[in-house]
Amino acid sequence: MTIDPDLDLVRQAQAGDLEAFDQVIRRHQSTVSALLFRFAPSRADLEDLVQETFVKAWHALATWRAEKPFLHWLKRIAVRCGLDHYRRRKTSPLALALGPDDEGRNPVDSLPSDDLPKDPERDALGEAAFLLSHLPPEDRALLTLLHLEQMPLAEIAEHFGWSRVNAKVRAFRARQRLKTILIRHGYTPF
Amino acid sequence: MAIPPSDPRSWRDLVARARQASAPPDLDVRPAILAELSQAAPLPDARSSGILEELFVLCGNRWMQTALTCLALVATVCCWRGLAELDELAVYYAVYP
Repeated sequence: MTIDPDLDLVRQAQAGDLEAFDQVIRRHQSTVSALLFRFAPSRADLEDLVQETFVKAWHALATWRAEKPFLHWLKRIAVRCGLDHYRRRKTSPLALALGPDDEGRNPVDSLPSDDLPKDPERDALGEAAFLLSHLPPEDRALLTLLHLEQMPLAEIAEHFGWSRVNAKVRAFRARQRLKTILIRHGYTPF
Repeated sequence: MAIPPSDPRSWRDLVARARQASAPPDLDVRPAILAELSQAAPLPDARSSGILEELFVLCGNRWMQTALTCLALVATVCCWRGLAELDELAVYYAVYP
């Protein structure tokens, strides 16, 4: 059994050492940001989500047991924050009613964006996020992790507290729903 | 490595391009987190995992939830049968007072 590299720092943080927790944040901030970037491509939302994840982690530190790696536990909190973000931020009915314009761009793109510079990859992420936003929050989170993060289904199931069979069934149904959306928006499905 | 967009309206290609996008490298929310934690939040107490908390964690386990569900079902059936027995006894005493 390998020793968790975060064990000492987390133990100190569990005892209330905020400086130790700062070290933990420093160590895992980029991993958490990379994961949550799939859920929130806008910088402001991403910052909020990363902050929310670490604050929740701090408050729940006492419940962490060393049986599982700390990073795994932290990612679980991050994924749940991402799902909550989807639940809070459903696509506006107006955007759904309008659908894509003549050039196939979604109306969300025309809204004032944040201060991030435009690049094709980020545009692609925004477009994918828009298409996924037509799904219910759970399906959206599932496919975000599966397609954009390429997370194994078993890990997704663990993060959401689903059985593997349940996750497979959910993934199948979510893909079916996404297929309909993609066809409606002129995309070739998978 | 850039993926050539063979079909611009293909979900597969869109997702492949989207995966290339990376989070802003200069993102640092540590000051905000630490400010929030040091201002309002009480420090977590690792040693305060009392029985209530342990019970709470235990109730989160799937096997525990299944066991509790089974127990509730058995209790319901027992109550149902008990009521039927009482009903029968009531009929008995009504017929043979």
